[in-house]
Amino acid sequence: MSGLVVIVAWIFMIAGTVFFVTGALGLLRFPDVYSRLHAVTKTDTLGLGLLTLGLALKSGSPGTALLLFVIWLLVLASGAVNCQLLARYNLELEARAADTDELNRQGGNHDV
Amino acid sequence: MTYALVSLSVPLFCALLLTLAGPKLDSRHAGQIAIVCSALSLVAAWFALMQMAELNQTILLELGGWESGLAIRLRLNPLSSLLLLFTAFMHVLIGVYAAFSRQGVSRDFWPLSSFLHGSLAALWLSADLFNLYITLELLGLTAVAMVALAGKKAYKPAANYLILSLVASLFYLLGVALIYGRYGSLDVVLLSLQTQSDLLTRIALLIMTAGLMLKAALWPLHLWLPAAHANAPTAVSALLSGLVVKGPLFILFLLWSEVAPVDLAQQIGPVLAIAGMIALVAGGLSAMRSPYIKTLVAYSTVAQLGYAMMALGLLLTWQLPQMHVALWLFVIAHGLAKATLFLAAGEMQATLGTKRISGLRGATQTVPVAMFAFAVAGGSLIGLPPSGGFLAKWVLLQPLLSEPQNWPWAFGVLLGTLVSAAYIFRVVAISFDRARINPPDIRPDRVGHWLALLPALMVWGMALTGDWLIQLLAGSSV
Amino acid sequence: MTFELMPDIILSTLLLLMAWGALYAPTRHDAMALFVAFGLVVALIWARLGAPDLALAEAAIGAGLTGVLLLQAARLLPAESASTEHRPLWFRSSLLFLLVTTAMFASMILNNNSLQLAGSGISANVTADSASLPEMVAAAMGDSGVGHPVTAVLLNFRAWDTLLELLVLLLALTGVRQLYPGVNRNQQAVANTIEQTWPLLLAWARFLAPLLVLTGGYLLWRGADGAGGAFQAGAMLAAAAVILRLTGLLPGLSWSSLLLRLAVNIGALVFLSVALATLMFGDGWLVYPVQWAGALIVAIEVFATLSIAVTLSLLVVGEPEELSA
Repeated sequence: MSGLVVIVAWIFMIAGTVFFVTGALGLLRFPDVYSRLHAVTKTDTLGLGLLTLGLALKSGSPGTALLLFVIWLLVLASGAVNCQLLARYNLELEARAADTDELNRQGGNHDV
Repeated sequence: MTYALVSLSVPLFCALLLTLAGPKLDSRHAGQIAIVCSALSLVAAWFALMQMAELNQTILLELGGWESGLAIRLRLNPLSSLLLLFTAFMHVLIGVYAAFSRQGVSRDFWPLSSFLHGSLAALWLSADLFNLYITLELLGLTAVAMVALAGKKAYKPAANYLILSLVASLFYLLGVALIYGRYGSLDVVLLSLQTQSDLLTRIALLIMTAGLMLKAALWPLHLWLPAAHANAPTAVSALLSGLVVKGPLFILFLLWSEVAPVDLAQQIGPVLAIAGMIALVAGGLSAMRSPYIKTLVAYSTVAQLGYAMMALGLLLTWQLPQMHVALWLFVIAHGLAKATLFLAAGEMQATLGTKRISGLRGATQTVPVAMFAFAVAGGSLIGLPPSGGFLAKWVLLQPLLSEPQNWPWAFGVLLGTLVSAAYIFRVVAISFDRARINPPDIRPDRVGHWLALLPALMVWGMALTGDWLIQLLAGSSV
Repeated sequence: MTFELMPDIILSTLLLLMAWGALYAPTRHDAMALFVAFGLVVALIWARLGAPDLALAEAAIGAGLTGVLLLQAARLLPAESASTEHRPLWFRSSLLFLLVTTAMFASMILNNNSLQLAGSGISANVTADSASLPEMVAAAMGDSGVGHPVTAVLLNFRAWDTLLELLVLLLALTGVRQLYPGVNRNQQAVANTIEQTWPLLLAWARFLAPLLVLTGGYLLWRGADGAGGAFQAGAMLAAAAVILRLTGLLPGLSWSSLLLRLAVNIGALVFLSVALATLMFGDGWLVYPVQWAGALIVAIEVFATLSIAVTLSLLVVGEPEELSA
């Protein structure tokens, strides 16, 4: 029985690692900020979730499992907040850049 | 020991209180408090020294009452008590100058100078390699903050100083870590019984030496010093050149004369002595060619540290206790003389409105007292009898002249003397040029000039107590 | 090479890579990001060495506070010009020289028996009656007043070091204060405007700060008989203060307030007063009476935590014009 649990735990952990690798790949390969954020946060959440699940199973004690779950929740929340903040910052940057472009164009027209 | 601890804790307490008082306290009152604290510390140091002169033995204090090895040990011997006294004395002299001269200092000078006083006292008393590291760190940070007091023009030298100082500290710390890993002890006295001349010890000692030489601005690692010392406020330059560079020198001395095994010390000795000789000549030549007054004085520090390094090197090579006396006499004589040189240079610079040496034409007429102070202190640097500088040089030269095979070293000392004379007389000669006087911009600040003269008079007075000093230091030789 | 060593090797390599990257990154921004990453790797290494409290402190200071400082400094600097400088020949040749000498040193050290002696903590000529330092610490623990060897060393056996370290931190703040009169007024205005803060950020800061305070308090409390202590706790509290200040939830920290200056000084003041009191009324400088040792250490730690937290926060988010006063 415990042998089976360990095997399942390992499967979870390996799957989690695979998600992390995918996230890193996405961060490197995706073209713009939003899709990169998407890749990183999604896979982080899932990857860490699987890892903690695996570790919790492996530890076999409910206390440790609870702690790991709380850690996962914290990272989950912080990931979500950070993603939202970065995206918003980028959005405002883009808006500002668009504004200045607009202004420049208008300024240019006035000169002509 | 209690006196020494009082002498150490009074300035630290004072610094904390001054920081706490903050902007509420104006510079005048802060200065008065700081001077009173330095004076108290001076009195305590005097009692400690008297006690030492009577006992004439080393007191080891295990802090916290723990057994040796576990506790940090403080050590009071004639040398450390003398240095304690010297530090307090310099702080009183320079504090009085800073408080009463017109040049003045900003309010933050006072807590910083008290911190400097406390950290130096902690350094002289410490006999633990890691504790010494912390005092070095304190010393470096205080010195950098004090250089930055001069305002924006000093930021760049201060930043360079900070980075080099941190790098040097890390070098030292790495060496301490290696030593600790090898011998499992940090106590200087315990280590002196244990160390062996194996490779790891060698590497550790060399790394620490490199760091300390960088901190003490010993040739060839001196390049940061002229910029930092010349750009600091006048009173700060005097403290930095007179005291701060001596701290790492003290640790270097402890390291090689106590921690290192004798055969390693004998190997490094000639290297240090030759570096000292080169410092004497190279630093002196740079001072001679410098167009600015303060830079000249700063380079002269590099040159004069060459004497100390030479004394240390020869002490290690021959294991001669006499060199130990010469080394510390040099340190004290140089500290006092350099304080006057910087104060006088700062005063003349302010009065005549020029940083250049060529602007000192006719200074004997326009700023006679400051110029006199400069010349008197310069006389001690050259080693004219009966100054403190002469005393030190005499002790150094005696064993050199007695044996013919030592004459090359004596030649180096004499060459250094010649170069020192050259750069001091260069300034003095220009100041006698009364044909084309550079008129002062402002009315000379008489009080400031006389206060600048004070340390120089002390260094000449040192000769009067010379016999006693030599006996005291010879008693504490290791 | 054992499997156990793998994480250590990976972490060390990563650390070196990050350091190299931070030094030679093409742009300032990359360098700063890599430096923060460097701090995080150091934190991981602490965790790996079995010191989670130091790992937390390192993450808070090395990555968090330093990162904020770097970003603030970068804002004050002029825009960087694209640099395509080629390193001169002397640079490459000195690098080569360094590599060769390092290799020579390394080969010499590896072939020398003094290396094996190092780290074992056993000196070659230990006399029969002298025990090694860890044994001595263990033997003296009973009288130290606390239950954790690190705390005992820091606040009892080597309390003098810790007292001086507190002064080092205070001096760092004094030094930084010297720099502010030079800050240009306009630049200050830029540096201090907090852009209209987003609601989500505010909510997150409100959630995070109490957690950090809780962690700090725990580290302080745990320091008596576990891993933890004043410095780590102070770092946590400072991180909380910086987060609150950056989001505008905390009013400006101004040097002109007496309370603040008291908070900065109190750690060192209390410590020094204890030292003086033990010198005058007790058995000597920093000799704690055995029955009081625990209480004294806790008192010193609490005040030191306060000082460390306030000093670190001031270093990062102090008000320039107020600090210079």
